[in-house]
Amino acid sequence: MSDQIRCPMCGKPNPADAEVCRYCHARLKPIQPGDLPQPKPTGALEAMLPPWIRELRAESEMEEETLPLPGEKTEADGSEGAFPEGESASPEPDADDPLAALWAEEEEDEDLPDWLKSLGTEEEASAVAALAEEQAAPSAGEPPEAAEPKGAAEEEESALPDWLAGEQSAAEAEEAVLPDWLAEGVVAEPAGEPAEAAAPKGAAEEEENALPDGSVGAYQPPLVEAPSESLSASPFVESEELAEALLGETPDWLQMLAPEEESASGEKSPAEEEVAQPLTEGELPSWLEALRPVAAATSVLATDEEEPVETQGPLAGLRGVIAPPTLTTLRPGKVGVLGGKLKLSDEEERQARILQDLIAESSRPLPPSSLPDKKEQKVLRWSVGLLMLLAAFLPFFLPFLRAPLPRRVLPAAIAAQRLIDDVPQGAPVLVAVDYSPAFSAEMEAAAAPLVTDLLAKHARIVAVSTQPTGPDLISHFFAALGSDYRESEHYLNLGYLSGGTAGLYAFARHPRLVFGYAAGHDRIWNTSFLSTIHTAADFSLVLVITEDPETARAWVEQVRPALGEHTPLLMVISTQAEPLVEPYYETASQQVGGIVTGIVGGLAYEAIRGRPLTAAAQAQWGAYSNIALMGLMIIAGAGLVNLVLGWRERRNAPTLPQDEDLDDEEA
Amino acid sequence: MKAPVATAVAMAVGIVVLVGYFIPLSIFTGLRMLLLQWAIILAGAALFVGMVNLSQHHWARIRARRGVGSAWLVFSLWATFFITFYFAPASLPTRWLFDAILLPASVALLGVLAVSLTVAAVRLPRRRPGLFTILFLTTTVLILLGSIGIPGVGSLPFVSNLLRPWLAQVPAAAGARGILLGVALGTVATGLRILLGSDRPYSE
Repeated sequence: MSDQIRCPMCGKPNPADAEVCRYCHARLKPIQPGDLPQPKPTGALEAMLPPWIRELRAESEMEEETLPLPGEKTEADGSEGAFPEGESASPEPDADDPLAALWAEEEEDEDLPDWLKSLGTEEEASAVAALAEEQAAPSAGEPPEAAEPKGAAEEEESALPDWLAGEQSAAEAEEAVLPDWLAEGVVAEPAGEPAEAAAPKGAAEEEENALPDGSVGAYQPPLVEAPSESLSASPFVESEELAEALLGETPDWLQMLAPEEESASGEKSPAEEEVAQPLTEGELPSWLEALRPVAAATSVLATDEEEPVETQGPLAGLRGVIAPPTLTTLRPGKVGVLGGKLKLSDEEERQARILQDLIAESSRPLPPSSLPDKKEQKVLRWSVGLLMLLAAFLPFFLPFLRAPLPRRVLPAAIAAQRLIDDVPQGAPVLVAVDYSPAFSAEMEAAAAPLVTDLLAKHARIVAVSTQPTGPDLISHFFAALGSDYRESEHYLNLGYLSGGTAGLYAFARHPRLVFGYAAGHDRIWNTSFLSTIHTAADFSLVLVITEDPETARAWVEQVRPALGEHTPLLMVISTQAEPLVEPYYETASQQVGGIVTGIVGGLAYEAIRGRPLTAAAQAQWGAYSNIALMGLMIIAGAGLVNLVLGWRERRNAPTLPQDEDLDDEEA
Repeated sequence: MKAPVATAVAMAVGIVVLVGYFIPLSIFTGLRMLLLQWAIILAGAALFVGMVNLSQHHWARIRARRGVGSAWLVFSLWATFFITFYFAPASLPTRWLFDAILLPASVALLGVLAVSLTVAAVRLPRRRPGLFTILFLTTTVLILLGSIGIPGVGSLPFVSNLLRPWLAQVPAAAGARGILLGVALGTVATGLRILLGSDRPYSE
C-alpha cells in the first residue's frame, strides 16, 4: 500500500504519483507556499479562445516574426548578455534551479501579445522577488546581522542575473525617454537611503493611500519586500507624489476619508506593520485569523502548540484548523460562547425561534392523564367481575332472567348426529380427550351427548389424549357422564400419547407399537376393546374433543389420512376454534365429517335428538348467556364512553413526532 | 465437530422418514417407524428432563432465599410425581389431586381471563381510538349477541341466524384458511431448511 495515498477529502486510495483524486478531484499534493506553477500545454484550449483574442495573437505573432530572436544580439532591445555564452536560446529547465521554471514559463509567454505580457510582469516580479528573498533569507545557523534588510537588498542586487540587470537597464532607458511631466513623477530612490526604508513605502502603502479607508481595512494583501530597485519601477508601484502628479489634486471628499493621523504623525498603523512583516508557512494574517470561528472556543481546546499541523490537502501547513477527535483535547465543562455575532434577518430569527420552541416542546413530558392509575384499573376489574358474577347467579333467583334455549339448526351438528347413528352396535370407537382442564366445562357439555349415545350403543370406547393430564382428564370426563360408566368395562383409558404429531402419526398406523402398556392393564391388546385393532382405520369412528385449533389440525393432518374412507373423523370443539376448524368440514373432501361446536352445538345436538334438556344444561346455558350479555353491555357502554374520552384526550394532547420522524432524525 | 455430526444425523433421519412417505418399501417404512418410536420415547423423557430442570432453577432460588413460591412449587411438583408414580395415573389419589386442585385452578384462571379480556376491551378505545378499534369492538359485540339468548327475547333472528354465522364462516374462515395455508407453507419451508442443513435448531 506504499504506492498509494489516501485522498484527504474522501479518504479513497489513489496512486502515489497522482496530483488530484480520481474520485473527488481534490488536490492530493498540497501547494506549499513558494511553489511555482508548472507550465502545462494549452494547445488544446486554443480553439476555445474567443475570436478577438485569436486575432490579437495572430497580429502579435506577425509582429514577432519581424523582431529578432531573444538569443540574437541587438542593440535596441538591450537584452545583451541575457543568456550566458555557450547556452542555447531555449535552455532546458533545470529541476534544481527555480529560475529555470521561470525561463520555461517565459518561453511559453512568448506567444502572448505585448499587453498581456505587461500584465504578467507584476506577477513575475512578485515571484522573482519571493525567490530572491528566499535565497537571501538567513539560514538557521546564521547570525541575525546577516538578515539585515539593507544587506539583503544589496546582496540581491548584486546577485541578480544578467538578464535582470538588462531589464533594469531597459527600465532606466525607458525612464530616460519618458516625457518631462512623467519623469517628474517618478520617484528616484535617494542614493544613500537604505533599501529597508524603501520597502515599507512600497506598493502596499501606496495602494493603501490610494484607497478609501474602508477598503483598506477589508483587504490587506500580504507583501514581501521589494527585491530590487529595478522592480520597484513597475508602472503599478508608484509613490504618493507620483499619484498626486498623475491624478492631480485629491478631491475634498477623498481627503476627508483619508487617515489623517497617519499622514500627520507618520506612524505606521497596526495593519501596516503587519503588512510589513513577512508571513511564514502555516500562519494566517490577522484579518483572516479574526474571521475564524474557533477563536472563542480556544478556552475549551488545547493550545496551538498542542494541536497538530495539517500535512495534506488545501489546509496543509496550518495548525489547529481541524480539531482532532480525541478526548484528550476536550475538557469537560461549559462550552464557551462562540465568537462573532450572526447577522440574521427577521425571517431567519423567526424560524430560529420556531426551532427552539419545537425542541423545547419535544423535551416536555407527556401529561399523565392518558394513563389510568392503578386504583382506577383495580376498581374497573372488580366492577366487571362482580357484575359478571351477578349475571351468572341472578337467574337462579329470578326466573324471568333465564335465557331461552337456542333454536338454531346447525348443519355440522346434523352431520355429527348421522355419523353417530352410523356406528354399529359394539363397534370400537376412538375418543381423543384432548382439551386442557380449564375448558372442561364447555367441552364436557358439548361432547357429553355424543359419548352418551356411543355408550348407549355399547361401543367399545378407547380413550387417548395427547395432553400430559390426559389420563385424569379421561377419568374425569367419563365420571362426569354418570357413575354407571366404569373404566375397563365401558371404556379403556390408554392414557397419554407422547411425541406430539409424530406420536399421532405413529399411533394412527401402528398403535400396537406405540402403546405396549397401559396403566392397570398387562395385555391391553388382548382385551375386547383392542383385540381387533391394528391400525386407526380399524375403528368405526374417531371422535376428537379439543379446544385447541392446533391440536385439531394435528389430528386432521396426521391421523385422517390413515383412517381411510370407512372411518369418519368427528370433532367436538370449542367456540374459539370454530373459524379454524370449519374449513376442514366445509371442503368437498370433508376431512372432518361433522362438528359440534361448544355449548350451543351440544344443545343443538340434543335438540336434533329430540331429548329434553336437563336442569343442569339449562342452568349452564343460562349462566353462559347472561355472563356473555353482561360482558356485551359492559363493552358496548363503557367502550363507547371511553372511545369519546380517548378522542378528546388525543385531540387535546400535544402532538409528538411519530416514531418514523424520530428515526429519520436519528439517522 | 459436534455440529457437523448432529447436522448429518438430523439430515439423514429426516430424509429417511420423508422417503418412507413416498416409497412404500418395507425397509423405509420399518426404519421410519423405528425412528418415530424413538421420537415418542424421547418426547416422554423430555418431560422428565424438564421437571428436573425446573426443579434446579427453583432450588437455586430457594437457596438464595428469594421465593417461598419456589419452595411450594418444588414440593408440589415432586409430591404429585411420586403420588402418580406410586399409585398409577388414574388411581384415586391422583384423581383427587386432579379434581380438587388442578381442575378448579385451571377453570378459575380461565374465568379471570374472561374478566381481564372484558376490561381490556373497555380500555382499548380510550388508549387507541381509531377505526380498527371500532371494527374490533363491533365484531365482538355482534358475535356475542349472536351466540347467546337474551332473557325474555331469546336469540335475535337476524343476528344469530345470518350475521353471526356469516361473520364466523366467511371473514373469519377466510382469514383462518389463509393462516392454514401460511402454516403449511411455513412447515414445508422449515422442513426443507432442516433437511438441507441450513437450519439447525438442535445445535448449540
